[in-house]
Amino acid sequence: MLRLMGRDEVLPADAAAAVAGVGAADVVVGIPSYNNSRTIGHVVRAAQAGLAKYFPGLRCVVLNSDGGSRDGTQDVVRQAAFDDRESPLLLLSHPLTAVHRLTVPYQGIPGKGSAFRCIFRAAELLGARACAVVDSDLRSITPEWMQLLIEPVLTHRFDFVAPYYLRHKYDGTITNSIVYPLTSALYGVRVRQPIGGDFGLSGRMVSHYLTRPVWHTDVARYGIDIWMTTTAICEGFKVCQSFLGAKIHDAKDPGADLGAMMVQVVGTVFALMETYAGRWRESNGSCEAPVYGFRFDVGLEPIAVDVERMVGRFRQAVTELGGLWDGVFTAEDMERLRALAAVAPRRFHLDDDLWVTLVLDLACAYHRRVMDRDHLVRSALALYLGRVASFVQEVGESTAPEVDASIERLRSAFEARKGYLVRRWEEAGR
Amino acid sequence: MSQTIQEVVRQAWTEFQQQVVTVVPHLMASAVVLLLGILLGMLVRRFARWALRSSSLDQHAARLGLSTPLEAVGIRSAVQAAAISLQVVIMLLASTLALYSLDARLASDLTERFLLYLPHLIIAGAMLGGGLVLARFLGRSVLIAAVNAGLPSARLLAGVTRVAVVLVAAAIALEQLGIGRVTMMIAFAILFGGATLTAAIAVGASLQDVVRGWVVRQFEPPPAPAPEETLRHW
Repeated sequence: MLRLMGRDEVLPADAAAAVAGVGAADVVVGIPSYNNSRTIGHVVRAAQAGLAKYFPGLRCVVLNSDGGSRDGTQDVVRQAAFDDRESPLLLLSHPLTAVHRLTVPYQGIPGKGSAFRCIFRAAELLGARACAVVDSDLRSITPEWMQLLIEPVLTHRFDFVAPYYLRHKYDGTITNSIVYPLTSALYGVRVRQPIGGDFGLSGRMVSHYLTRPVWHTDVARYGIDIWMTTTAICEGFKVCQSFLGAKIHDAKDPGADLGAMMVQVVGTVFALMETYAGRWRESNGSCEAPVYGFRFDVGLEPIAVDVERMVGRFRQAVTELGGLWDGVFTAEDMERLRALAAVAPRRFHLDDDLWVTLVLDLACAYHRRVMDRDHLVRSALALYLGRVASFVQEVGESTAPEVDASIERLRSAFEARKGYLVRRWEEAGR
Repeated sequence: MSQTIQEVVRQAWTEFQQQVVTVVPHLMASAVVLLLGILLGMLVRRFARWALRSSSLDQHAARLGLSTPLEAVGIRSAVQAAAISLQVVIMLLASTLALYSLDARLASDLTERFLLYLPHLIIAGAMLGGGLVLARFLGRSVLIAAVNAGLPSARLLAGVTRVAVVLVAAAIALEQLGIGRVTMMIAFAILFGGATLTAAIAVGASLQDVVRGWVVRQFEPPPAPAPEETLRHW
């Protein structure tokens, strides 16, 4: 309690006072938000119901960390109380203490990472044994998610619980084409949704995150998810996945610039490759992180994709940005890209081998600082769209297991090119 | 009469001899100093290249993020840039010394003037260098953003950005050097006005169809909207 009296570097004064008012907690569920009034009420109620149902004997807090919403998000949180009279059959036993509900603003760089930092600090001050974070734009969250994210921490002593969702084959394309296969190949642990956004964490893990000096980088923004996952894997924490069912959420910041988000996520993946170069150089092959929960199939919302637009962007980028990529890609790969740009959209196919080479070359160019790092990653946006277009055409008629097999083939291709990466990385260091 | 002429010629010859005796050693000394300066400069450049290369200056510069701005002003190697700078400094010092050997007053006067002008020169150089770096950076930013947005004239936009920034930087640098202030202002105003007019005409011409479409839409019922892409990358 004494710790709460002083000025806190992470929490604003009113947030620190609110946390001090609660005193202590066993479980903290954090929900970062920014203008999510449409969906956050459901998320808060699901979290409260889940905590009341599965952890009735524990002191629980639902904490909304808001980035200055102007659409009444915080009001929705304040009013979104779960009333067990609405669902009288949901709870087997009534909780000993009411689930606290707090909504506080965070400070620092505006972004998801800063919101998480605020949640982590509050969890640390409250002495929480487990902490879960869930996105505020979720429409498919159920009370069971609380059990699935927190139970592995409290009962099985896992430090980091990553989500495992069922998603439409066109959903999460940056995860499927870059982040999942590259991260698995690098660090040897397969976490299927490394940037899923919904995680369970031990108190030890939370405290470890807070000690790292990364909160003024892209980690404070959308880089947070991959940073958390990679840190947990590389620093020897116990990692598992939890099967949550379908992930259905609002489009992430519909007005946001995809280039900026890609810089934050992919830039963080590349920056982490520098931090953990020693780890991935030694790692060979990969194994799946254990999966907690009961797997089942669900129906998923269809997704509309404009392949011709994406191929058009790819062609324009190869024509207009080719000069920028001279020191990034080899002459042979540039030739392959030019040949691909000349192909009709229906026959367009950016194969695994070329895609893996391009991603690894980008990582090495990022390491060598061939050009401004932001420019480098942004310039690759159209290549990524080309890969997505190719993937959509390839799996258009495929079933979910066939799509999974295709993604696993890509992961194997990344693993097979590890030697190439090490060679090029070392050339860059000379 | 002839005696007077002989006297004048002798006097002139004597004076010429005296001048030669006075000036030639200075000239020779100055030439020797200059030559030594050039040789020393070349030696120092070679030695500096050897010494700095083994100290991996290029790699350090790359790690500190200096390669990009250096490359922007045409310097591909920090080692080479440092070596050439050392050579230029030595040659400048040798030239000043050579000038002193010729005429101390003139050299002193020139050195004083140069030293007074030096801050302007350094500021102008920094302005121009900074402008070139900024032009390259902004040009690249515009090019990438335009390509990512699918704009058809991405390279043109990037080129216009680069030229505009370089023009502004050059105008500020020349203003700092005090060269043709009024002329530069007028030239810059004409160029900038011309560029703005060209850009306005280009935008107007390329937006003809947009404007026509907008006018037509005011009088026709709107067509059914195309299905929106719902792809989620995360």
